[in-house]
Amino acid sequence: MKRRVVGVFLIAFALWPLIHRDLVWRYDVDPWKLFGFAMYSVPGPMKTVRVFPMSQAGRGQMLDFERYAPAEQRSVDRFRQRRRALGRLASMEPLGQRMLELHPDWEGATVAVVTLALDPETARLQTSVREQILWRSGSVEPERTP
Amino acid sequence: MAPGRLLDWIGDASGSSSARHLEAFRSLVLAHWALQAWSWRLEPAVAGVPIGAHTFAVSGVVLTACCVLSLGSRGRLACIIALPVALLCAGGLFPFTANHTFLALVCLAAFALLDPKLPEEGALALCALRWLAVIVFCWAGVHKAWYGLYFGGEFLTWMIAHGGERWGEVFGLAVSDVELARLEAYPRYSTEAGPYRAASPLLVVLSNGVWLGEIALGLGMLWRRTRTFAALGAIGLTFGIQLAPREFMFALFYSQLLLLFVPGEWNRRLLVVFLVVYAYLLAVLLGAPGEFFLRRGGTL
Repeated sequence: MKRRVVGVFLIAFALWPLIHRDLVWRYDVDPWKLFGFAMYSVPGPMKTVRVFPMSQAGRGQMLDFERYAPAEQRSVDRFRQRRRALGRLASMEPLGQRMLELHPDWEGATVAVVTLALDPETARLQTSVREQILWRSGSVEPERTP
Repeated sequence: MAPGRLLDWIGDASGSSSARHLEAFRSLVLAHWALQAWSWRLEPAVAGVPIGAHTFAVSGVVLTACCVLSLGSRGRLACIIALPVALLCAGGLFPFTANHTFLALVCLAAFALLDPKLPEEGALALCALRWLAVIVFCWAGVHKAWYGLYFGGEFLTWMIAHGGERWGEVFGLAVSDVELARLEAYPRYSTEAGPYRAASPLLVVLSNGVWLGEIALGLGMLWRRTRTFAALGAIGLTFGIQLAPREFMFALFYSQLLLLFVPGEWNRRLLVVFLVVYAYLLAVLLGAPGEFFLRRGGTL
């Protein structure tokens, strides 16, 4: 019995990095995390989080991080850390909802994540952006590349 | 080949690896866990980890006690007690849990399940632990090639430029002063900067040597004839790679795992030395001199 448990575990252990690679491709999961053993394969993920107020007229000016209240800074930092590790598996929705709670005057909020990654073909940094818009009315637009 | 035979393939047909050798490694796994728990208590590296410093402190005490207990005749019991504590720590750190923490967790689970004193379970434990070492080493090399940032030395070039002074100090030796100056002048977050591609042939050789070495040495550990050489080479490569990031806590643990391939029962012979090193690393965390051996704020 123990032999079987060990054998099955080792097979799963050996195959998991394949699934891990797929998670990195599909969801931008951090190669250094989630037990795929791809540490030192790429520089650690560089992600910044931006938050914008929304109104029917459109997008307002980006919130200045330096002027965030401590509660906002904590929320943004926690989301950024989770997003770094889990990529798109870490939803932007909770942060957007939190921002709407902290800013009762906003009609909606846009959360954007800017990622810089070293591109193997050009050997330069490449930028990609993902964003999601949440409205106070309750409607949530799907996360997308703008 | 039948799965059972594949599992045994990597075993020790001569039976030269004694129960005492595995028991020594078991104590080292517990020592590693104790040090990890203390490091999380003393150096919280990520904001927003759901379990607090107090939990890590209690875990540190329990895991240290388990390590001491394992030095007597209660090694298996020590692992059974330590496993849920280690799971709590590793789970509490998720999704920031480091790969080496996961590897140490798996080794601990193996010793909670298998008793080295029983010949059949001892042989199974040895096979399982050796397979873990091979799988980790091979995948680490395959990933480096697959992500494509090692063929032209891109990853190392980037790290020399922006990975902190330790990367520059170590791998900067492989590039000319002109190239070093070029790399250090690149602004960190600019898409215009670059290309981060090594001009130095030596850095390209080093870069490709890392992933090729990991795969070749990992596979080399599978065959009896090449096993010892490959394991010793892997220990050298592991410490070589860690010269820049200086995650020696991981390098030490992984080397102990690799020593299970080397005749001579070195984990047993060096048990006291390794325990002293762990105690010293704990002292460094507490403020003793020896910054070289620890990466501050990155002990996850």
